[in-house]
Amino acid sequence: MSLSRRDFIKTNAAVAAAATAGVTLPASQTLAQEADDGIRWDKTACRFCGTGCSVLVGVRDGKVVATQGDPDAPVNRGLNCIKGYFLTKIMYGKDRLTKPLLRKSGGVYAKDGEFEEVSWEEAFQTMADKWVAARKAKGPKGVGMFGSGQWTIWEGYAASKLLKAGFRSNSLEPNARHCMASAVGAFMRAFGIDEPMGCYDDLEHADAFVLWGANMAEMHPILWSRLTNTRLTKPGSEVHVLSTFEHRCFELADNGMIFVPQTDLAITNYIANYIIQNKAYNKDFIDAHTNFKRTATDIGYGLRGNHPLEQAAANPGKGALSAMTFDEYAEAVAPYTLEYTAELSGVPAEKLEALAKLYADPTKKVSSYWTMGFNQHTRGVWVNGNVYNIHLLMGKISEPGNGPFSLTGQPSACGTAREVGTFTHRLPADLVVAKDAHRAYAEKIWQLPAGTILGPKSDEGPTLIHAVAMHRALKDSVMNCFWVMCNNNMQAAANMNEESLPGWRNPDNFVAVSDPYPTVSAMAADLILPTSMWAEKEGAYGNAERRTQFWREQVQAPGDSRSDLWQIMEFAKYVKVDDVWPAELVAQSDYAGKTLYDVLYANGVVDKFAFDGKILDDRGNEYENHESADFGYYVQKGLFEEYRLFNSVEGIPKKGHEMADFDTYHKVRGLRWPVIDGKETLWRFRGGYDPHVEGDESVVNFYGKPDGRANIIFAPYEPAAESPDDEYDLWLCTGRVLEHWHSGSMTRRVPELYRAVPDAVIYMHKDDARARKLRDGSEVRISTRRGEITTRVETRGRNRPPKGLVFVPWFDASRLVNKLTLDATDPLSKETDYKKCACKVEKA
Amino acid sequence: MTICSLVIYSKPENTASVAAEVARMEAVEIHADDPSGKLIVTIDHPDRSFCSETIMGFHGIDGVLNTALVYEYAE
Repeated sequence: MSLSRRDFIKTNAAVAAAATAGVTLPASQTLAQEADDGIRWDKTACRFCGTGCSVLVGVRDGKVVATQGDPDAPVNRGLNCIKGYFLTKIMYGKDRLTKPLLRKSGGVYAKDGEFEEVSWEEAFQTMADKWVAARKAKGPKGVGMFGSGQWTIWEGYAASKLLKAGFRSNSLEPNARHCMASAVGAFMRAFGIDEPMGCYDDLEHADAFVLWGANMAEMHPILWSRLTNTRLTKPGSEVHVLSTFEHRCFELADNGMIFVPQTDLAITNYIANYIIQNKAYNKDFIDAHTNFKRTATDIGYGLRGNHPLEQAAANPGKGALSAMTFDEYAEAVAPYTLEYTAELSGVPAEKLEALAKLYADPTKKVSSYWTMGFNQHTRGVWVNGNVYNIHLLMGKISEPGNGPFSLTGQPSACGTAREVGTFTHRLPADLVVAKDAHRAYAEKIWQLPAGTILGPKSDEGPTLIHAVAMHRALKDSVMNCFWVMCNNNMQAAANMNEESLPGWRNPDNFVAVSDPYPTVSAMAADLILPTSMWAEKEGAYGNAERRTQFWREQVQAPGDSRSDLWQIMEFAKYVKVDDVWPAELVAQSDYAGKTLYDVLYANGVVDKFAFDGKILDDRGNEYENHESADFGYYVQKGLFEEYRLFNSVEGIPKKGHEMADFDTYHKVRGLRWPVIDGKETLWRFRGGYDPHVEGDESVVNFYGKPDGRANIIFAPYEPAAESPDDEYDLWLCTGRVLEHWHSGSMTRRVPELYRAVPDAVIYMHKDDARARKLRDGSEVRISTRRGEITTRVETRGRNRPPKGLVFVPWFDASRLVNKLTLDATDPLSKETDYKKCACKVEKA
Repeated sequence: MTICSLVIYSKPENTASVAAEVARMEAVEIHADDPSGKLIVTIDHPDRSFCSETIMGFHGIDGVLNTALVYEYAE
């Protein structure tokens, strides 16, 4: 390479960065864009968090040679975070799986056998035999699938059909149960329709930002860049950060607050009380657009029914709402005074008051953000709702700069898990299996005889089963077959020692794991299926601001890897309708003798778009598409267009999720639904922005509820499931770090990221360390009532816990922090609380 | 050869000290700065790992709020 060419590339790089940041470069450095050098550039959506950055990928000779933050992307505007820098490297880990592996002994499947390479045919035939037997013997809960907020939209949709229609089972859950279920529950209760009303444009429109249990600086770095930019450039803007420990966001905070775990429930009620006591509330808005409700209290902690905490609860699992008046609501929040709340939460009174004043100031536009601090919470639905209460009392919602915003941790927690509805109780587009009309609509679209899709109560018993209950059911031999795709649940699910591992290794059970890598989950399975990942397939994700984004297959997957989509559809060929449906139901259709594949996918709708061997973009570039080549039609297009029959045609049961047609998404940098006549929606429920609301920007209509009114729901402070005591004297909080994403199955295989943060350490206060005669780097044993791990102490790192709390990241497969965590869940959302249990720390 | 470009964010009162420290780092070049606290830098080094470790090193500099990568060329 000549020196001049290197300078040329470098200048282009600098020009791109400067343009992105709105910085002017000295004139000598600006150059025209170079020719592409045989590189095929195309857009992709990032594989990691829920931000939904668009990344340009440059491919030459079948290999990725360059990447660039997409300058045309409204989300990231050309920027990329450190994980985005390594995005393409996740495909090239040294231990990629390339063949199906089955535990065998003496040439046949054996639960206690060793992994041996098998063909896809043998893998699926073995699996199908097990699944059919389990479905027959144990009913709808006998089989189960655990999918992902990282599945592409069509993967989630194909899986929903396979389980809910094919196997007539509602045992389908996504790992999003562990991360977003509380947010969903609160959206449905308050607004009757899922997902945020606002969008990322609020990051520039707001005057002030409040972070509740979100470390955006490390977990959503690109959104943090936008927020930082606003804070640095907008006069009078301010940032308030609440957390149970100090993290990187505190460097930018004007008002940083450390609170005692669980007291966020009290702080949110204090703010509501402050607003009412000072008569700062927006009476017109409240009168026109809200109802007041109270929720049932003392609802338990989502543990097994025989746990003492469940036995002691007055209303275990109860989510019922009862009406109340404004005055009754005011009375309910009145005990949350500044003095009481400061004492309970440990936050200095003046800091709490500054926060309350900000929300109560009608001239300040406030955007609130949260992620797992609120969602992974035994009162997650309540605490999400408490923030909605604040915004609704002030009318600071559904308009530029004002709004509560639930961030997501996965790239398609919204697009796939929530919108497609891969939860046990859901169907596509916010429909639910509990409603006869919704099941009937799904049966009509899917061309199924009436009664195919099971309600919560069926002739074969109750059908609903959430993620945490699945591991319990495996341990109890209620569920015998389990297929885990696109996630690492053995490392993720809480209380691994007592529930997950005994469940998976139960001799009655057959567990299959689809993954690109030999994860903790894969190694604990009976069958491992090698998966084509991310840009090795055509995909679609939906991010946290309702933006649906597509990409094309960029490179070929190694060996015999196949995408999750191919695996779901191909497996369906191995099961006949007659194997899993009762004869009477088969007799109502002309499906006798057909496979699930014939019924679900080769149904005249999914298979109606031709595929002529290659995909073309509108610039004339060619791409492969292995699923379409194999099945003989444009699979992704057929599935997406069938999915749109649930959300974008006349006569749908629930409006508000409209999407553009398939081809449009391949041309644009995503669109935020509802999309009507090609136009996206930035702020929902507001006239002038949302096509479902007639009138100008003064009109608000929360149309997810029949009366157009949102619910302000009083929910009190109740203690955590497990708090520190004399023996287990510290709070244990788990979470992520910047360099690693979730369980680290991808990022730990990028050598640079691995070297940067190789092991999960325990972050603790130096006084807590000293009291235990520990110093930085000391090896320690962390134990809870459920298990123990060893690691090293860090007292001066990026995370600075207060006395009495320790933080341990969960990315490290060699130190499984989920041996320690308690499987207590929010009884309403069934989401696990990974942020609060009691532990002790001793010198190892 | 790896060439990449980044934006480094800092509070305006810290930008000068951040810039001084960044300028001392091997293979790093500052192309522009901005009064609101943004630096435009490139890293040019034969080893991609070196580049990534340098990027991660930016986070360790006192006063750096965030970094964002824009462009990368690797061959």
